[in-house]
Amino acid sequence: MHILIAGGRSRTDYLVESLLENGNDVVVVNSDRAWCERLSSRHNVPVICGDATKRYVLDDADVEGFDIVIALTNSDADNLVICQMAQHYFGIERQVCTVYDPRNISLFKKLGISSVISATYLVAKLIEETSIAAMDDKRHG
Amino acid sequence: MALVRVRRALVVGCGEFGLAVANRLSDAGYAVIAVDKDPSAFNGLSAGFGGETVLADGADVAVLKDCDIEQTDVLVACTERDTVNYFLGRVASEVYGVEHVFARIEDEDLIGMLEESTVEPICPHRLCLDAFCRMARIV
Repeated sequence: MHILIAGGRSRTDYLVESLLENGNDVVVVNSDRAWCERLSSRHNVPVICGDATKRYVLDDADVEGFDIVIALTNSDADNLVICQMAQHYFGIERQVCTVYDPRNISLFKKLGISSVISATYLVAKLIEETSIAAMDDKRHG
Repeated sequence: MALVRVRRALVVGCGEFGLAVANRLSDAGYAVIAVDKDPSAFNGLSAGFGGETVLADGADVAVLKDCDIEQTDVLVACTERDTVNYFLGRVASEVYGVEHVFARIEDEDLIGMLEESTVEPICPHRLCLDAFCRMARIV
């Protein structure tokens, strides 16, 4: 699959590696020049240095008709814009949007983003599941 | 006795434009809530401003809910960031059903993405250009 990754730091590094291992084509857009240089020295993928909320940057990245966009910047608003812009101007139908505020999960889904992920939400859920499991163990043990 | 509901307005971002809008809406009889994360921003509200000020990050949806966004008639998104204004505009109009939503946006490509939406973009450089062409008599 053709995948655009916008923003993010160590998460991008890891994602690029694992997506490439699985045989995907990856293009990275990141606004931090030093990080771009590091990424392109570590991976054999096109790395475009620029603000992924700008259409001309995505034009440079040549992502028309890609399968997936993954938005990993540290701004929820920027991530929404990246996903909607990728869909509107570049026909990318599957968007994965990360958010810091878990309350934005349902909002972004209502705005048509296909997948919305919040680390805070996942951690809270995991803790909840762990404590339920611990309670069950107590009851049955 | 006729019961007239006071119309409510939420202004997010109190730069020059946000302050002017908040003052004007207050003068026009709206119950205005002005939001900014910088306390000194509110210094520019006029002496006659009758609304409320909320010191918070307007890009935080919890803040908008505290400001009763669901009961708001008019929302003006005019923070200093295009993407935040776009996000606020979309959320206000499509999630909370605010009837009149205005978003200050410079980026023409973002404005293009709002064509099918009820969000009304306000584009400062376009307005300046219009004014320039009018004054310089350039057609």
